[in-house]
Amino acid sequence: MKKILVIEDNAMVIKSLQFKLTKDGYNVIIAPDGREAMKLLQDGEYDLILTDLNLPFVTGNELIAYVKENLPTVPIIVLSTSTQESIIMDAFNMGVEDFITKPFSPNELSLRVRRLLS
Amino acid sequence: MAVIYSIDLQWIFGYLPDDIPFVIKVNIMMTIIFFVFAIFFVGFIVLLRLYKIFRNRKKEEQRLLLEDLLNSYLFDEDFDKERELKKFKDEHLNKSLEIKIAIKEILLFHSNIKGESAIQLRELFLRWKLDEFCKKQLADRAWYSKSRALFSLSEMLIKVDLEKIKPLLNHKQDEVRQQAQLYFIKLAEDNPLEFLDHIDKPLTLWEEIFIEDALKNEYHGPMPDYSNWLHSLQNSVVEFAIRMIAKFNQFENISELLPLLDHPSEEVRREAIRSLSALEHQEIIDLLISKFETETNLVKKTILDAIKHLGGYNDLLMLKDKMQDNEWDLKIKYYSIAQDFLPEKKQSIYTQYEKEKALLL
Repeated sequence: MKKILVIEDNAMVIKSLQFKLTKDGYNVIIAPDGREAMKLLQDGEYDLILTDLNLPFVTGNELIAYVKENLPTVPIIVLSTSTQESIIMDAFNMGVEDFITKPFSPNELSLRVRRLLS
Repeated sequence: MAVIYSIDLQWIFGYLPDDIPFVIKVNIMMTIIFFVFAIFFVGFIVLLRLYKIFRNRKKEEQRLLLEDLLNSYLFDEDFDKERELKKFKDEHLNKSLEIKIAIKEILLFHSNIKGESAIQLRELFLRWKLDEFCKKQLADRAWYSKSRALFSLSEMLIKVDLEKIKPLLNHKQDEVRQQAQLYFIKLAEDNPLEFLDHIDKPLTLWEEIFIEDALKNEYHGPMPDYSNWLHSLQNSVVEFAIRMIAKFNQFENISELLPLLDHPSEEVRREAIRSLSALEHQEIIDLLISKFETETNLVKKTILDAIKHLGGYNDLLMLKDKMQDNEWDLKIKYYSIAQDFLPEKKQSIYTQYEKEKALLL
């Protein structure tokens, strides 16, 4: 079973993502903030990372930089409320595989996750 | 009256020994009264606190139930919608608090989710008749209930008879007015600013920002022709319409803006100058120069800004003798603009200003 690390601080979004991705057959691990995510990344292996950009303690960008340096093969999908072009461009320049803006379509997210994990 | 008091005091003091002085008796009675009052007061606070804890616990339980139900409803293909939704409605949507939590939770999901799932949430909102609850809340006496109901209805794009919304556009509470405006903008098909015809109160700056933001983010139809509100009886609406004409580059309305340079309101005239300037309408320079002398100080400043933006040094020179000797704020602005036009002569312009100052003071 593929393992996905979801880094998100919105409780409602966490629950929905967990429900949807578990239904899709993935093992979903949740980190409610950047610091917790760093710990989980150091201790375990993941097939995909789904992260918000505005996170407590460690920002999404710092997290992406860490993953791209230490775990370059793990794909990252950013899930953010930001629609600002410069922020999206920065994320892609840092090497993220996909960027989804909130509000998001759960079905579309599901497809994008499947595409990256296939 | 004196008899009544004496009887009452006799009754109260009757329990105390007779040899205690009157002052001490009063003191003891007051202590007892305040003690009883304090006990009741503390008891009341404790009761309120317990009620709040109970209510919050109930809210949290209801919220968790709803969260699970909504996730199953949206993402679980095996979920028996007909049965489960009816069961939940019968068991958990009977009290006003339960309905309010359900509305809040659905709106929260709706704000984070789009596509097919968002449509499903709207269907659920209607299926549970939460729209009916919101419509009733529009007539509630509490302003926050009206405001919340308006927000819920506009978020879920539920049409209500506009005659019920119109009175709320002039509600004394800002939040209600704002939500009523948002309702009009979000549910409009072609005229999102129809509400401007029905407002009796001046638009506040905050409301103007809110409307502009809502038009950009919530309205998806064609941009309205703002010249429709240039003759509104509300000057704040006229000012807003003028600003929006420039903001959305409605060049076709320039001819409608020109007569406003003679509007009785100083603020409207200033706004018209600013917008014509922003629309790069060079032709107004001569008109502004001719009006300069008879204008108010604030309008003169706006004209100077327009000359700086649209004109040149020669246009500015035309205004030099039209300023009164005591209009020092204007003169400072004038010389500052002159320096911007001729940066190479910055020092000589400053000297000229100093000379004029010395002559007049």
